[in-house]
This record gives sequence, structure tokens and C-alpha cells, in this order.
Amino acid sequence: MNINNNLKKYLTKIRELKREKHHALLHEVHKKHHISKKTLFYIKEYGGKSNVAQTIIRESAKILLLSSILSSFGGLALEGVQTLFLSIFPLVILLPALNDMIGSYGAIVSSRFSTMLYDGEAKTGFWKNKALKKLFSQIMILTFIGAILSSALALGITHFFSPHFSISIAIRVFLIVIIDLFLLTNILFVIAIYAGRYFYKKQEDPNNFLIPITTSVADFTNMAILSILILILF
Amino acid sequence: MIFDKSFKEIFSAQIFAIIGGTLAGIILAAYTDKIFIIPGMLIILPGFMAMRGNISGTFASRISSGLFLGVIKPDEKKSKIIRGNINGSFVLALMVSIALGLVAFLFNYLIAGVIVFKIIFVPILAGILSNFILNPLTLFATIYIFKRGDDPNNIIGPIITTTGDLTSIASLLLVVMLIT
Repeated sequence: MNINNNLKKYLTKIRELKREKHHALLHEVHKKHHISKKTLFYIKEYGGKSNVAQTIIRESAKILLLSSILSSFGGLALEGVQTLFLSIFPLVILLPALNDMIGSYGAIVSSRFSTMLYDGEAKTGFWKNKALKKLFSQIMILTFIGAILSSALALGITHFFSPHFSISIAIRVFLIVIIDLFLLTNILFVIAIYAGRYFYKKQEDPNNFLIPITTSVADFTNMAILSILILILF
Repeated sequence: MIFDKSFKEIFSAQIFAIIGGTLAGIILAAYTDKIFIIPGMLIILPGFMAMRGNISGTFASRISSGLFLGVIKPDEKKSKIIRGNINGSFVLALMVSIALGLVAFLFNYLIAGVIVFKIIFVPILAGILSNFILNPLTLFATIYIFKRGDDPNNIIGPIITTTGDLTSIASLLLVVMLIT
């Protein structure tokens, strides 16, 4: 009973801490009551003294605005080859699917790496980190399967519904998809690792930053790579 | 072990992403003449789709963390943290939509030399419309996956980006058709 009361008192104190402040109390409660630092950090971040909506807006607004504008620049690259791009029917079908795949890899890599940071699993470098290497291998295999499935689906639809289909177009579209996806997944990992560590060290919740950063850079790079590959291959 | 439970979860979600993305692509390809009737729509499209994925993705990620930590109870959908998340996501979507409209307007004016005011209102209206669909969907899907005993971090991302794309393209199409 006494321990419970003590703990309640501590948690109330943590909730009342200013969210910008890194307090020794977190470490003390973690040691004494074996509550993970991740839980305590979350309680402090979205606790009693903080306005949840305001915290989210303050932490995310800048990065979201930046990321959407960056994605628009990617759109600008595609706008430059608009006529050519819109004439390649399978690529128009593939555009959201490519964005989805890259976006979901970005979200998975970001949230898994954020969890690794909180759990203290991401202290070692990439080559020594088994969990990270495993995640990388999984995403690479999934990228390959995704490239084959998505292009097969888009090309199949084009074959049945559009008169502008040929083996030559199919090969070029598949090449674009595979090059694009492999380049982007590698870029995602590099960004997630470096940016994740940076924001974690700054005592911010990496969840709020990593997903917008990885997806916007992926979007921008996706459009840029697509535009370049369209110009080269078509 | 590479082909573990988590690989299977991501793989199933990826299949969902590919099918959903292709459906969105078919809508995009079928209505190319209507969606791209306003100059600058290709500038808005990636940013708008990214915004939906980003806002709902981080929303789901925060809810997942809260659920795993026990700070959010799955049956208390009106708690302070959940209400704050919904309000925060709504305001963020509105802010980014306004910025996207202004950026597209500026690009149109500076690069193509055309003044199209409609391009400012398209993302704002589409943003509001898609917010009303995606925010509740994200919340309920995250809690449902968690209650089922799966890790929302592995599954929710692809679901959000896919439904986000479908909702984004449908909202943009609807707004463009209403405005023009």
C-alpha cells in the first residue's frame, strides 16, 4: 500500500514536470519501481502539464510543413514530364502503389527504430546490431516481392484495358519500379537511423519526426527518380 | 529468423498496400482528364498524399505507443490523450493543406505564369473532407489491431497509407469536380 502511494506520488510529480525539462526523477523512478524509461518519458511528454494537441502541433507542424513542401517539389519534377508521364498508363496506375509501399516501409522502419531507441536496442552501429540488420533484410526481401507484385498487377491491368501495351514498355516499367524501390529503401534506412538518433538525443519523441521525414524525403526522391528514369527509358 | 511473425504481418499489410494503391492508381488513371484539369495538380498530389500518410501515421504510432505502455486504455476512447491527438491531427492537416495550396499557387504563377486561385482551395476542402474519414478510421483500426493481440506498428502503417491514398484521391477528385 505504502509502495503504491509512493509510486502514485512519483507519477503525479512526473506528470507535472515541464515537458522540455529532462529530470533526474525519471531515472530514480525507473530504478526504484522498474517502470521502463519509455513509459515515464511518455507520461512526462503527454502528462498533466502538457496540452496534448498543442504538444503534437508544436512538435510536428514545422516538420510536416517542410515535408509536404518537399513532396510538392517532387511533384514539380513530375509536372515537368507530365505529358510523357500521363501517357505511360501503367506508371500512372503504379504511382499511388509506389508511394504506399515506400510510405509504409518508411512508417515501419521509423516506428520500429523508434521503439529500438526507447528499448535501448539501437545503441550499437548498424553492422553490430542484429535487430536492425534483420529488419533491413526483411524490408529488402519485401521490396523485391512488392516490386514484382505491383508491376505485374499494373501491367496486367494495362494489358487488358489499354491498347498501348507492349513487352518493351513492360520491361521498362519493371526496371523503373525495381530501381526506384531499391534506391528508396536504402535511403529510408540511412535517414531513419541518423535522424532517429538525433531526435532521441534531443529528448524528443522520434515517432513525431521520423515518419514525416522518411516519407517526405522518399516522396521527393521517388518523384525525382521516376522523372529521371522516365526521361532515360522513354 | 527473417521469416518470423513480424515478416508475415508486414507482408500481409504490403499486399493490402499494393492492392489499395493499385485501386487508387486505377481511379487516378481513369479520371486523369478530370483531376489534372486544374494546372498544378501534380504538384499538390504527392504532398497531399504524403500529408495524409504522415499525419495519420504519426497519430497511429502515438496511439500504439500509448496502448503498449498502458497510458491509453483501449476502451476509453474519449480520454484526454485521444481527444488531444484527434484535435492536433485535424489542425495539422488544415495547416499543411493551406501551405500546399499556396505553394502550388506560387509554382503555377512563377513557373507557368498562370494565376489559378482554385488551386488554393482544392487541398483545403479535400483535407477537411479526408480528415473526417481518416481520423476515426485510424483510431478504431489501431485499437482493434491492438485488442486482437497484433503489433499495430507492423500493420497500421500500410493500412493508413493505403486508405489515405484512396481517400486523398477520391477527395481531390470530388472537390475538383465540385469547383470546376
